[in-house]
Amino acid sequence: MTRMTSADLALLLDTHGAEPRRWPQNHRLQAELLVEADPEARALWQQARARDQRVATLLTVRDDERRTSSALIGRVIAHVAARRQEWVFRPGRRLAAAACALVIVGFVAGGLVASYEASLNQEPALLALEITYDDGGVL
Amino acid sequence: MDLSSDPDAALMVAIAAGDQRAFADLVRRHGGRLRAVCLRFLGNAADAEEIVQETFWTIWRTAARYEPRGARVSTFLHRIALNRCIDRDRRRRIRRLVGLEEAAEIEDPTVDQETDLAVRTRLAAVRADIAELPARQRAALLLAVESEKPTAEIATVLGVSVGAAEQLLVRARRTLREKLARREPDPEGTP
Repeated sequence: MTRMTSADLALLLDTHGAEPRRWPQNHRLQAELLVEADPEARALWQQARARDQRVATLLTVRDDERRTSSALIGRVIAHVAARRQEWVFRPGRRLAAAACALVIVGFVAGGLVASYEASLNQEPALLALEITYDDGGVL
Repeated sequence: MDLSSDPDAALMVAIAAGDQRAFADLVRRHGGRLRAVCLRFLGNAADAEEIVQETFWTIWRTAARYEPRGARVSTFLHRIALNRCIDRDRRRRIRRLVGLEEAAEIEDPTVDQETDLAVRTRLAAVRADIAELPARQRAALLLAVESEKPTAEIATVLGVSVGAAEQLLVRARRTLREKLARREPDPEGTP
């Protein structure tokens, strides 16, 4: 078994934190011996423990927060009821949206056909305009 | 895992059958804590509650697909909620990046006003450091510290391998250590 170094301990602290009971069984004894014997390793561990305490102060959920208030239960149930209603009506909404889309496509397509037909009827008139213009240009 | 080892698994079976009382019971058992965890991740109470509501809506819809032999229900809940938190955090960062949203002040659910000002200032700096961590690193750290979850369970919640979860924790702790060392050359013993 190779001896644990301070660098190994630093990696162990970054991976598992400073609490020895969270260290993997196969590294714990060596790490604890190193912390006991080596002042540099002990300083590393103490600094990691101080950092962990700060982070724990900020991230640990308090007991009073763990209890779910009846107001929160009520809001969650109301939210789920509203979402269920949306869920139930969703197929109907999709059908309505598809019908609307079809009507719009119908209007647009009808308009395009109508304007195309109108443009066909206008072509002789446009030609006549060009002729008039040409004649004017020659004169 | 069988139904007897996780009391919530029986609730999930009942919820899958449409039992609203079982659903309310599950919310009562986990809602408060889940909200607190989301609040610590997002730093915003309204966002945290929205995530909790959507998480329980997902539970209501997908309870039938829950496999009791898989992860514990609490792990399943954390997985849904934290993934939503991570998504929201990414969207928020993008919106800030393109100038659509300003950085909001992080709400502090932990430190009361009676705490010494110097301690509060130091903790506020660490809170800001945590808030700046990439979302998955922050989630891994939160699970490790708040729930004291073993790395294997953190990996399950985040949907990554155990090695990847360890890497997330290493990077998160290293970043915090480096930032703290720049701010306070000798932080030992100070809360």
